[in-house]
Amino acid sequence: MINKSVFTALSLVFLCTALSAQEKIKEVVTSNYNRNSVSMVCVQRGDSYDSQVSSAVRSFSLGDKYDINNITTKSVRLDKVRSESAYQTEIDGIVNRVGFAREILASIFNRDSNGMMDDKTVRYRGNYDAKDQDVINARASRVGTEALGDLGHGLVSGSYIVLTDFSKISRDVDTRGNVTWSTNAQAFVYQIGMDRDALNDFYEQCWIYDEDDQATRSAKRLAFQNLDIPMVPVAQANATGASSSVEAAANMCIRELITKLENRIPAWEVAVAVIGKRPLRAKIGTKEGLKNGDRYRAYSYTEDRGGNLKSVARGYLRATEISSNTGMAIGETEPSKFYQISGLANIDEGWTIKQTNDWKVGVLAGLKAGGLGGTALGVDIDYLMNVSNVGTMSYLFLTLGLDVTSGNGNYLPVQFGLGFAYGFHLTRFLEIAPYAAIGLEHMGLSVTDSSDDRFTRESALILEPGVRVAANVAYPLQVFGKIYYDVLTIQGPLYKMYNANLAVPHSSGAGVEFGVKWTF
Amino acid sequence: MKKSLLIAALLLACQFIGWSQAKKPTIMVVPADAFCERYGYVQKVNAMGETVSSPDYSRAMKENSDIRTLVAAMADFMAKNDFPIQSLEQELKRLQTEDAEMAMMTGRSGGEVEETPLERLRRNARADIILDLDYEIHRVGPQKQVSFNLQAIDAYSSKIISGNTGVSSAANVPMTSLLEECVLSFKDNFLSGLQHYFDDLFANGREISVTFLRYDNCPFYFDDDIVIDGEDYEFGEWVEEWFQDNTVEGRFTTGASSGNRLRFTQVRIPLYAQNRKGRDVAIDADDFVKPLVRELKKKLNVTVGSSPRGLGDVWITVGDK
Amino acid sequence: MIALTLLMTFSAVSANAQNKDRRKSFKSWDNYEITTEKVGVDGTKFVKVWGFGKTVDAATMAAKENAVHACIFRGLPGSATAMSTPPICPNPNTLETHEDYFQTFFAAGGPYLAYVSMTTDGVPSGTDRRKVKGGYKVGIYVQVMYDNLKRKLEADGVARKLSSGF
Repeated sequence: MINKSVFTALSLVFLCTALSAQEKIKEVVTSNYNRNSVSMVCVQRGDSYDSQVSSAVRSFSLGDKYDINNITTKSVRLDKVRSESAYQTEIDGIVNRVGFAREILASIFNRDSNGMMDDKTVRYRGNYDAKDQDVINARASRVGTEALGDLGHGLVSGSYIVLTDFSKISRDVDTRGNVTWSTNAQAFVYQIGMDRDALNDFYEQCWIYDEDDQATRSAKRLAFQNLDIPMVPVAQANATGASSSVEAAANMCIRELITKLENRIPAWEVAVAVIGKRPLRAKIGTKEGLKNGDRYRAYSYTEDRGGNLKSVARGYLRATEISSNTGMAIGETEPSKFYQISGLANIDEGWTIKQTNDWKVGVLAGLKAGGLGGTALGVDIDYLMNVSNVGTMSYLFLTLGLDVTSGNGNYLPVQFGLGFAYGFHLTRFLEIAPYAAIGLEHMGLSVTDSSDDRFTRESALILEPGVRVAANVAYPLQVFGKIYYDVLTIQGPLYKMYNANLAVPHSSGAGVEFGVKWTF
Repeated sequence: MKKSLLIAALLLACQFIGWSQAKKPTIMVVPADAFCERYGYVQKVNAMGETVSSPDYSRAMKENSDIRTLVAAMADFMAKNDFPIQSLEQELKRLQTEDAEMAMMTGRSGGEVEETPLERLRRNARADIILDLDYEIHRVGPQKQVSFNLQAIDAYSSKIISGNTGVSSAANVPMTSLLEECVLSFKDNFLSGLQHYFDDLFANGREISVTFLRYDNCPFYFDDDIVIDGEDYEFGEWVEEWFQDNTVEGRFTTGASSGNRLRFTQVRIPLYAQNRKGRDVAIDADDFVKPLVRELKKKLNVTVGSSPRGLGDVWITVGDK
Repeated sequence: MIALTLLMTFSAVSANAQNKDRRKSFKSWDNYEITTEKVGVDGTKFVKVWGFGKTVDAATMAAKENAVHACIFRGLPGSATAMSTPPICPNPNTLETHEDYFQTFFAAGGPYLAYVSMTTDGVPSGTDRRKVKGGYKVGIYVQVMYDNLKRKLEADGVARKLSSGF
């Protein structure tokens, strides 16, 4: 009996080890990327918000990165109160009822009421998606560049629908009567389950030729109506948004959802090879929706002893100068430029870089000493606005300081402000960023007083020039140090009074801050 | 053994020094029967009182531009390899003119066709290698794809020398691109097949057929015993002995034999032989049987004629010419 | 005098050793992958071929050599829409009988380069550029001027012409 249980336990351990070992097998990051086509569908709940959220979904622009399949079903109905969020199974049920795959095919092949289809869109997309390598390959082959359009048939399988559902829409009014709408949103993404064989079957069964007789035509029309092509769920994402109108809040959510989905659907992540160094260059641009500061990750490839291909993650890089490549490739696409921001090894030509979206938002937390006085906890949130070819970066940041030593329960000095930093990279590991900030230091408890100017009377205007030095530890973790000079300028009367009461009153002075930064 | 060695040495010498050259086989591209059927390029022919449909090459070549593209593409690469292709179109025209002339001369009206057009073509055009070409255009939705089947056939032995089947890319591009892609696709494989065939030709000799036909004037039947050189022989037996002595490594197969007809197939003859002046010359089926014909005439004292049917088939008529 | 003799002997030995090395590599020259991409334009073969070398450039050169080697000795495999291509010299003894010729032909910067052109856009990249033990393994797209190569070998008496003997 004991033996048996020992044996069972042992086998369980083995099983678990085997399972975890299996999980460790990493998927090889692909170096291929082809354009995808997307249709946005709004999930309606049958209430008064339907029109607003539908309009937000309809008006949302996915940019140049995706082709749009103009399907007829723009919205679906989920019978559930808005206060509850939707479940995947509920959405699955709806998607299975609507023949989305059929609608996608009808849109791609411009199917008319007689069931006639053409390949104009497919050929256009094939030509548009063709990379320089495709063009060069086509020139080397007998069928030639005329066959480039036929690459479009391969893109049919890259058709997706994104169903967006909004729930828990609420309205808040602050004391001044400002209205804020907030909403939760969920996106459910489905891909057409159609490989090349299924596409060939579709052509065979449903494609009407000019010479087909009436009987054949009706048979093919019927075959189209009876097409049973599944929509396969591929990803799901959540977001929340708040704004002055439901539509704006919904729009904000969709933007966030798409960014998240891009990180969850490998086929949506742009991947391309680095074609040159100093500066790093790659043949992507506006066609792929590339924007300044967009983050990519580099991968190189190795083979293990068994000859199995492995991808090795390397450093990160950000797009700097974006090329406009929205034309058809002719073999000489102008590359965009990039700047490497992390990684021990220099990114080399031939390596693959893959889109790895981030919010370009850095959160810095540290301890401040000096400055206006005392020791303070400091939190900065910066937003990367621009990256140049040589690695200079512009940041806009919000800063917050809490003097924990000088103040007391009633007069806690809080500093907050807005600043601009301009970072220079001596190497990719080290950034030196001179900055200037303007802000207020507030002392007192103005919340207890509703008078309008109480807050200003308790505050002082501060100017802070300084230099921030950040060094990579393990990207996205950095350590930073700041050296700055706080200038106390205009002071409110109450501020003056409270300040005078401090053990060590705040005054202009130099300060330092040390801490860590994490980029999201 | 000695003889075969000699032949081999001779062959080698010819190949590399090339002081004498074998006759170059002629090649012609002909649309396959299946292709003609599929596209309706057929004509009804009255053969032996029965109406059978047979390919109408003339129409196929005139009406189908695709096949002309294919032939042109093939002619191009064959010419580059020093094997100009005989033009089927020209050959058909020549035949037509010839028929017209014949009709005028004899005053006979047509209708008694006893050969199929292919037989007639083969007989008249005398191509040694027929390239039997078949292709089909498939439509895959908006795309087109060509599947092809090309067989090189030794016109006399009817053996397939090289077979090539495959498909083109599926694409919505002009037909000429897809057709030419097909030709380029099978080109080198096809040439390699031909090379293989020629190698075999040089190593084992040319394969021919010899048919003996007896005319009424002939004083004996082929299965009769006759006296040659003072010995009793069955005519067929004597001929077989002659073949054993004169073919490459004695290779040949005796086909159907009767009192009126003797047929020898897979007769492997050397590519070269010495002429009366002792010079090496390239020979064909007709040249090969000439010494036999001479010997028969001398030894049997009968009229013997030989009529070649191209390079690889010869009829020997005994009793008359 | 003795020194000169020694030097000569030494150089002869080392040259011999080098030749042996080269011969050795010639004999074991089989370990590479090649696939037909599509039917190439007239007279060419459009293939993807792999090569190994200490650096990416060396691997690329090796891949080019491999492509020409395949056309001459191995033949090219077919693909879904392109038939296979037979080798220009199907006789397995060709390499041995014409070893000196091929030593020169495949020498660094040798005549073989005139019959192959790389059609990879830029450098070998992505999964076509793999760091392996001892160097790199790269896959490149190349166009081999097959017909020209064949003519050249025919003209040099290494390959037989189709019409030879007639």
